[in-house]
Amino acid sequence: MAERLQILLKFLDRFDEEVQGRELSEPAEDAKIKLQRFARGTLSEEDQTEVFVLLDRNPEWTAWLAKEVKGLRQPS
Amino acid sequence: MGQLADESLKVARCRQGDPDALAELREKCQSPLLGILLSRGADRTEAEDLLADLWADCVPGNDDRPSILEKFSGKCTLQGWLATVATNRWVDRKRKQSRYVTPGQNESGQSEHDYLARLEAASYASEDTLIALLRDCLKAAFALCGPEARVLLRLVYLYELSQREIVQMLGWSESKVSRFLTKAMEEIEKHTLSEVKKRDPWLDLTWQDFVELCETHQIGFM
Repeated sequence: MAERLQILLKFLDRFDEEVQGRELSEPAEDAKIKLQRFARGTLSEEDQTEVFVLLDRNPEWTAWLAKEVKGLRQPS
Repeated sequence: MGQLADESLKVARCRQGDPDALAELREKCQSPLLGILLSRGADRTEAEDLLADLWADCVPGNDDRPSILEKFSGKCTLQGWLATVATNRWVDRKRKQSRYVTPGQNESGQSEHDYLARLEAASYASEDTLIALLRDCLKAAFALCGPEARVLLRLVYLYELSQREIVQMLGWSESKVSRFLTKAMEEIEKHTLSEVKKRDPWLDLTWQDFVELCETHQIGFM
């Protein structure tokens, strides 16, 4: 099921990239601060809802957030 | 030799017009492709006609027309690729049939909705019909999810965050995250297939068909 969803998301992203010529844009500074707090799990429920909307409008920032979360992983 | 490597040799022979390779390809794939088209809703005559045209297009023409196999990337199975091409052609053909309006029909009460639906269908004819359908149905299904689901699905399945990391970010329990993602995926499946039915009621796609067609489009074409 997970693999299927990955295929579908990549399929959709390919069109979005074609249409928008998407670049790996960095979030604005205030958004960065919110996303960093989101990554660390310190956002209130209300702020989380706001961040979901923000990320939904700027899907390219999701990659930035994912990188931020992965940066918090403990080295194994 | 792996299946894909073996196939790429056979495809190379077909592209050059080798009659033995073309006959072998047809022998191997005719029956499975017929089965796939029938299961997707085509009737036997439509399916056999489509496949006859498909095999003809696999042969390079004397007028420098290349074999359709020139478009095959070799990154997926040949049968899967041929099934995608055949399904695309069938959907395209059915759309064209459904767009055909008998003279005078417009004046005799065709609703505005029907007219718009036909215009929408016509817009597909200029691009890859099947891919436009897959993309639009999938987009419509994702649009019905909330922003929360769209973002979390991307974080987990596209950027490979673990569910445990999502738990830490949101303060949810692991079972809540797991249930949320499963439900979101089920909703996407349900809404996508229902969109397909709404747009092309004669097309019978399973979820597996849908995903395979998307995957083949992504990796199978040059």
